[in-house]
Amino acid sequence: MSIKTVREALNEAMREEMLRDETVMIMGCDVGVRGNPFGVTKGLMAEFGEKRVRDTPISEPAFTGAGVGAAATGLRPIVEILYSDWITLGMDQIVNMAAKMRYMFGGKVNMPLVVRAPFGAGGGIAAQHSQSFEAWFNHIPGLKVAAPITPADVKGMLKTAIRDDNPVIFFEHKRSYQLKGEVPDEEYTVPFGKAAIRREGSDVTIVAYSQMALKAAEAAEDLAKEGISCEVIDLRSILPLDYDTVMASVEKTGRVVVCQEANLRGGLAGDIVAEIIDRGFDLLDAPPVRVGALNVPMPYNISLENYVIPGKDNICSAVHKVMSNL
Amino acid sequence: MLKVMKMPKIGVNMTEAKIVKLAVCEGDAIAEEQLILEAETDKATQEIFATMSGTIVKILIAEGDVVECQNPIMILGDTGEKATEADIAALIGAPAPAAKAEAAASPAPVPAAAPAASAVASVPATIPAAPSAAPVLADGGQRIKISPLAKKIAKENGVDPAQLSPAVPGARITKNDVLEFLKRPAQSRTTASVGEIKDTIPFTGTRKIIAERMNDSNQNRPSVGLTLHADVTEWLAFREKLKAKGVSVSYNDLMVATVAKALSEFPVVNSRLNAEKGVIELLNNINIGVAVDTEKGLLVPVIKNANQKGLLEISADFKEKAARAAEGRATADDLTGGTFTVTNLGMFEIESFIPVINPPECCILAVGAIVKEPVVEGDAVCIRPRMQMTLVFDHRIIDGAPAAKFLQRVKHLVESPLEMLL
Repeated sequence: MSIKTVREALNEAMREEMLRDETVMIMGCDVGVRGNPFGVTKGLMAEFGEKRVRDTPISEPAFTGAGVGAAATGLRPIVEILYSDWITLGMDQIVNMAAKMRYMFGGKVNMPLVVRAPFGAGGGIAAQHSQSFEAWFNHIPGLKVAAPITPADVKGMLKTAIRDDNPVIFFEHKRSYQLKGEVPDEEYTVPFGKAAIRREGSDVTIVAYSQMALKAAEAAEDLAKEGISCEVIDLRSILPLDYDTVMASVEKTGRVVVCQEANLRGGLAGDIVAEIIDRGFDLLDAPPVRVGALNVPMPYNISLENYVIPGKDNICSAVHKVMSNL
Repeated sequence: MLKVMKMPKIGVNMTEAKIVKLAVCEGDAIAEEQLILEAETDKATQEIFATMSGTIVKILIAEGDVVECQNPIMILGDTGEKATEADIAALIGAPAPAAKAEAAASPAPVPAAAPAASAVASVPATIPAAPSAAPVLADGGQRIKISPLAKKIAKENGVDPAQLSPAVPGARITKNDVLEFLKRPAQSRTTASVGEIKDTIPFTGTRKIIAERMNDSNQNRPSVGLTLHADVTEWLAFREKLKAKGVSVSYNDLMVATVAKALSEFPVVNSRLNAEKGVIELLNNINIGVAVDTEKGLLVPVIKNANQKGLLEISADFKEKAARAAEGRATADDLTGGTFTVTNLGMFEIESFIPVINPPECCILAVGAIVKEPVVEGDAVCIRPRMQMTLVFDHRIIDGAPAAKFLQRVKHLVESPLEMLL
């Protein structure tokens, strides 16, 4: 084990896969010479050359479409959307092309495309750089959606994404790049559809992913001091989603809080709550509670931003609510 | 013209009422302020009077229903006027509330779309009855708030959810509440198989309100009891003197007057906690409740402004209110507004007991039986009539010492009734 940052873990995952498989290549704005604004692809162009690490013009539809074409014709492209907010520009390529091709061509075409998309809010980067669109992609059959958070998980799961023959939207939390954690030195992968129980507990299940999983763990720590025992589940991949782990936990606790950083309306938390009710209405001892951001464009002002983004306190209040029986 | 008459709210604390008796029928012409029904509210059975005049086209409630205040109870119209289901639905905006009690048996037809919506061709006039989606209902017809898990465990164990109650009044019944219920010995439950139970007493109305209030009191008020003996020689003599003059007052009357006097000297005892505002409220009026046993259970008629009333006034007031309580005709006003409660079980030879505070009051005083006891006076043992008193107080509001001082003052007033004049 070594202590590494999320940035280093992502860089290693791509480098190792590029060494392992010469069809793996990277495309996007500033991924090459600059090594990505967050430094995630630093050094890769120097090591693998301009052919495999391509700086593209600033046109998401063009380079996302190029990624779809490359994947369909035998490469394993990693397309980077600088901020996931602008994935909207490449939406047609992802939704109508990448997600559909394997089905519409009867399995004769593979689509080993990875779209890396930094998402999440924080730091005062305003309404067009702070969004979390995972719910949109969760809605589209044919895609896989990952949102791991720890350095070990991002490395292992990015490798799984690169090796998968289906299109994967890989959400990295843009506030997590400096996050440190232990990463195995040996070769490993982290599978899709397998959640991690970050903390065991018996009173309430807190389901979360990405940055919210970290906040949930902090909230659980505080709540433990009050005598409330929370089980914290980090979903890691949200499509496929590990409902076996979620339901086993709900069966134990009877109470559930589902957290997302995106604004609440139409979000993944609502979808997860609905699935929990479908699978185990009779397991519930209290109405599930969702945590999410307010339904407003993200404010630039830091104080307002802090107010809008759900934090530890919001999770604690949600747990109190689900425990109140009122 | 059709119009809706709603259940009036006739007491500050009234939120709903159980219909005991209907005094009118469909087709009757009624006048405003005419008696239309009797209903059980907080604790009292109340006469409910019409709030408008007209002919009763449709009665939306039945005896036994529990109706929330301001919910529709009747549709009035002109003589001979009729109302269709759709008319009623349009007037009250929902299926007739009578369905509350009947829903389980026969699903009420969903009303036709309101006229404004009738342009939409696909809106069916009626929607077929949903298969047994009836909510869990209590005896009175109220919906029971229970979690799916608790409901499932109750079902698996043959427990009727109507027998369950939440740990905190008003909360949802949860798994723990069912498990606690199952832990109780079978005899103290009312589920069980045929043959085991001789009879059941409905846990509703007054009984349920008493339970909720006692629960609330016990769980939310850290209470402490203080007990002392009072020599009642002079108290008895005082009562005998009055009797000789042809004036008859009860021990309860004397106790109310005594406590009222003591309370006027200890304002902090005549108080209640308002946690929301973060204050202890010292109350202007000294309103003394006296616990009375009735057929329906414990009721507490309140003697208002007892400190401003003479013994005779107190006696007459109490007699009147106790009689109404015994007949189940106490008014909401009779039973509310108390600031202190006196409870006496002396007539049953109980010498001392620890009562539960009657929320939101600060204190309750338990009075025991008068018993002749040997007492040491100087160096001699003599026989004196004595009585024990236990003051239970809410320790959030006052501490032991002031409570003790208050009780000591009550004792002095009992032992020296002349001081009542001071």
